Amino acid sequence: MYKYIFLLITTISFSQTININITNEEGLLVDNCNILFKEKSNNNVNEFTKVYNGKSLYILKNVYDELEIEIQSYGYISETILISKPLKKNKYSYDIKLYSKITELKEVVLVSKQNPFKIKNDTVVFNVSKYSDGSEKKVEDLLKKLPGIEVDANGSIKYKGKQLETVTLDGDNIFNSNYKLGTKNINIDMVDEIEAIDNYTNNLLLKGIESEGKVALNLKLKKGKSDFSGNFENALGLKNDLNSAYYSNSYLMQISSKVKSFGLLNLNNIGRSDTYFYEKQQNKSLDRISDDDFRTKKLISDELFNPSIDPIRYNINNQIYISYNNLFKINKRLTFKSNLNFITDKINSNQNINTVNFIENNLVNTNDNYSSLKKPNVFSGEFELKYNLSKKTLFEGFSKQYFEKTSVYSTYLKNNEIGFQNFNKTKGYFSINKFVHTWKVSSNKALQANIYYTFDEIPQTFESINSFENINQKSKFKKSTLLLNYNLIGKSKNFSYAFQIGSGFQRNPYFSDNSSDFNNTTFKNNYYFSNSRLKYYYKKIIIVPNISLTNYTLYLENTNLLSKTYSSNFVFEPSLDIIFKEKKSTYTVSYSNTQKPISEEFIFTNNVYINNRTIVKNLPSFDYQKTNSLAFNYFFNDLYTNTTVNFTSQFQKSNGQYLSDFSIDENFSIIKNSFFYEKNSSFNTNFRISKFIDKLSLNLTYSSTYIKNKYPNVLNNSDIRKNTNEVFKNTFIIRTGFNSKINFENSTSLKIITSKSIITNINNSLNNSYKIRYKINKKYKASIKWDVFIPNIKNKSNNYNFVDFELNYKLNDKINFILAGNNLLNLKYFKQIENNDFSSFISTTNLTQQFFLFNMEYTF
Amino acid sequence: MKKLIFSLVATAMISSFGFANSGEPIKEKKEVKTESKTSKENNQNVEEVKTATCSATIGGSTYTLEYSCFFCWGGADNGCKAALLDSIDAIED
Amino acid sequence: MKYIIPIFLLLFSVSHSQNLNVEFNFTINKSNDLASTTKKYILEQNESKSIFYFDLIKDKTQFKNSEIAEVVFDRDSVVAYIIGDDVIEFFFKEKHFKDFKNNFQFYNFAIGYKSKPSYIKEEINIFNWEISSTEKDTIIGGFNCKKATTQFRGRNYVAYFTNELANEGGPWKFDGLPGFILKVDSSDGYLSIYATKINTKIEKKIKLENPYLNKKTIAFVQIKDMILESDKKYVKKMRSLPNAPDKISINGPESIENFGLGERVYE
Repeated sequence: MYKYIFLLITTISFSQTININITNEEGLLVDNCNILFKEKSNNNVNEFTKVYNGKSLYILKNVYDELEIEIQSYGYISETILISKPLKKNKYSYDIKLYSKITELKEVVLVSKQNPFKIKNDTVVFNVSKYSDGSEKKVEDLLKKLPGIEVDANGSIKYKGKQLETVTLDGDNIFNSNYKLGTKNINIDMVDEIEAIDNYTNNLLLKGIESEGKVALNLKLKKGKSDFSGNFENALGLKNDLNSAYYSNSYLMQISSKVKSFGLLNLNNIGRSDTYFYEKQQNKSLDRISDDDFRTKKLISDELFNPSIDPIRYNINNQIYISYNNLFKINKRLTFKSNLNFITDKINSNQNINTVNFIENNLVNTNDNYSSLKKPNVFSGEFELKYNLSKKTLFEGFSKQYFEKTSVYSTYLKNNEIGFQNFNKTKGYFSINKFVHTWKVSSNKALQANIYYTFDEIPQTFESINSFENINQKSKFKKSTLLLNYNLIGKSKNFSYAFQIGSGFQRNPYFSDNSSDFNNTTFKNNYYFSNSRLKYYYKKIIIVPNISLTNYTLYLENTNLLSKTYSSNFVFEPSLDIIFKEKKSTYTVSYSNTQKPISEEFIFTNNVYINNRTIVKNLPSFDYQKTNSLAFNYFFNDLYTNTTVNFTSQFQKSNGQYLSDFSIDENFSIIKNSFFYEKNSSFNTNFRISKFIDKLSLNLTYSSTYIKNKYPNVLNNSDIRKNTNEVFKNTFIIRTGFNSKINFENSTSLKIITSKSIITNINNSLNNSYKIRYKINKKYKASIKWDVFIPNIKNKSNNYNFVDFELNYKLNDKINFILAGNNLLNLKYFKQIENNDFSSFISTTNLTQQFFLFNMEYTF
Repeated sequence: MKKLIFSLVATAMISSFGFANSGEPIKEKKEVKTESKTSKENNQNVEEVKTATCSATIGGSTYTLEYSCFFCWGGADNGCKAALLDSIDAIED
Repeated sequence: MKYIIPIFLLLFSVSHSQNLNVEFNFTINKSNDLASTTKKYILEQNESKSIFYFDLIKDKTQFKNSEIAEVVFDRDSVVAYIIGDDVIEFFFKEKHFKDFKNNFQFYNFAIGYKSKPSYIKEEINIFNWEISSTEKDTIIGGFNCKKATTQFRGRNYVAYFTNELANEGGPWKFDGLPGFILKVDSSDGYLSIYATKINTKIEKKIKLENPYLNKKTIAFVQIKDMILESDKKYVKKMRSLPNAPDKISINGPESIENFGLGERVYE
């Protein structure tokens, strides 16, 4: 009783009391009402109360400037009371009459289109069935349709503009960086959901502490009756000249709780090359080291040039590729992973390059013609052992062994006059051995120690013989590294940090001998370093300052010159990133300053043949290339409207570099590299927008890239020339997703390359790719693809039309028959024009001619 | 000069270690233990006792059973699973 | 995004009685995805009471992974399904009654494998809602809806409600807003409820009565004790088997609300 009196007194003293009586037209109290209290200026409902039996005595909890009281009840027209600056101690009383409202009675069915995706913290889960239209076969085909995910022509995948670390299967990392094995081969029918993960970490102990912003995809597979699934594809057919064409691609996947394995066997001679496992590895581990840091140079390259069309059109191959990947969860603490890959191939090619060099006021014409047979053999074995000693300690051992033996037999014709028989052999042995100890000190702090022992040895032989000349050259780069680093990472409420100290010992000997010239140089780099990075979070802004301190002790022992030089330097490299994150957009500004010491490709001083025409030598020095770089990035991703916008702009400037001094005549190009303090800069801008227009069932993508490089060189004893190279590329892609029988996609690309020095060379090329799909009925599907290339718009008569078709017959859920034909117009050669600051060249390559295949596919 | 900088960095690392200790402690999972097992005389056994564990989710709750066995082959695992699924028959209340 | 298809001709009436029949899709995404479901509930409401019920216990398409769901046993009031190898879920008939005037709600609750359900009674106004300020109203099914958020028993929720259908009401326990709740989502993705059909065009007046009028009820806080009781019975039964387990751990039941229980280990 006293409680109520006390309340009454306090309310009368301090708060505003609202007393409302609500009646209807007939004077009866309205049974059931809601009263809303709003601040008029922002129309926001701050509090509300329910009223039963028409009387309400309510004490306001908030303070209002302009109080708007709305009295609502179903079936009545709402009434509003406005009190301007309600006084604190006042009691306001009102008698309100509500008038009936005519309400529509209706029945409404909501065909709710459930969101095709779910957001769970850092992960977006895409429901595969909601994004597919039935035309997708492999995982890669569907990934192209997911917002925020970008798949390039080679199958490399980016999410939120960043390269993927890996693609996991049901949470397990079985592919490492060789994720294309999975995305290009696994049938999309096996996949239920695809998760796009931000802040991915491979090390479970570091989950929540490591904040590198790595991204990965996870494929959630459909739960079937069996642990095994796979796909067998076997095709036989005819190539031109009545040679047989064959294509066989089969994979077997086992997913169980203790074992996950993926095996692939591919045999083909129609140009489908599976070289992804020995592509450059992009991802870095916690200590920011990637495999590329341990690789040395392959001086003599196997390729003459790569035409800018799909490799399947010119890769005349005969390949066997086997890949066997296994992950064993031996027990709760121990897992073992092995990835074995083997590829052997025989590639035939006929290539011709006709070059016009503009030297002072003269034109120097050259011609190189190769008819070659390349036989690469590559084997790699990667092993990984992880042992979780306790919840806080993890030991990991990694070993990667990579063997290569590539032979190239070719007939070479120089300037259409002199012929040679060439034999190139490259052997490579690359071994990375790493041991890691991670100690999770607390829930937000961890220490990690890494030890690496690696070596990469690439001996290469180059033999070129004719009746007059005989070149017999041996050249070998070797790099062995011992690296230790110790890392402390942690995360607190407002900031996260990563500190690293370490030291490395690198030994890089180079040897070459070609009867006239001899090199025996060793480059040694002993360094110790520390790296500190802080990430400070303030509301929507993240500030990341980073300081790197390195002490290099460089040695160059040149046995020829009997010289030993040494230099010891201390290098300071700061960088700063500022990131502004909103719900759908991220803005990043980055600045960095780096200093690079000499790279091993410049350590040899005497002539080395790169091919029959080109000879290289260097004047090495211990100068550092200092670079300042400023970049801006904007990324917008709206999952609801399926719109992604990505804009990047970067400007980079260096104080100097190893400048190439060219001496060119009809027979030889001699290149001498030495360090010059001449500025070079590069500016590149990239804009990409991708949008799915629901109502028209159309997906549109537009991307535009502009790159401007300014670099110096010297040509035939000239002064230092300042050159500019600009590339401007625009691509527009449209893809339909109609429910009807016909769908099409079209991609148009325009590329303008401008090279400026004293003269200006411009080349515009255009290519268009059109594909139409026709769903004849439930069992039959057909598609026709038409690619047009115009390598030089000024010369429209030099155009190429490739026509391919495919007819698909679905016998049942497991068996598919396909009839396919490629290059129906039987084009035999492809010619393209390129230019640089002093020359223009026309490259011609032969093509895999027309072929027909009959393919049988079995899926289980 | 170099030594000075490296020692500064080392100091920074060590002090941040201590400073960052003000972070959250590891959260322990709440375990409500009831009815401890009556002690068995298994201390004399030199042979290792292994365990077979299996789990099932029934009606939203996850039941995990642990059996000790000397030879834990598939038999022990199957027995475990069978016992779990049998518990549904216990619904015959 | 929702498309509206008005089926019947609109009827006009001056009616102060709110007669509502709304069909809802109730999705629960469990941590073991095999057990995830989207169940179809119906809510009937008049001006003072409502009943929210589920009786499609034999429809296995309501499981997310319905292709691998099989019936284990089928009774009148409960059906057990096995999904995959080791996930068993029960569908039992559910009725959730609300009496707005007296601020009470009643519902049945079964703890996993016991076929005898318990009956819970608690207040309706147990939510602390904050109505969000938005420039525009969200339109659901042609009705203007406002957005409100709350934190309830361990999860954060976003709800959309409209005063164009009724003065109160909503699916499951969700209520206490100045309008009828048409859509609720938990921000961690666990729960999602949305209306699939709204019908106000009802000829006869809906009569609703408390189905649990004479039943013994318990309070929400007592659910914890019930679960521990059921644990004891389970452990006793398992120990009575010839080959008894040495250790039994029970975690759950995984549910929308936090019952205040962690993992229990019985040795």
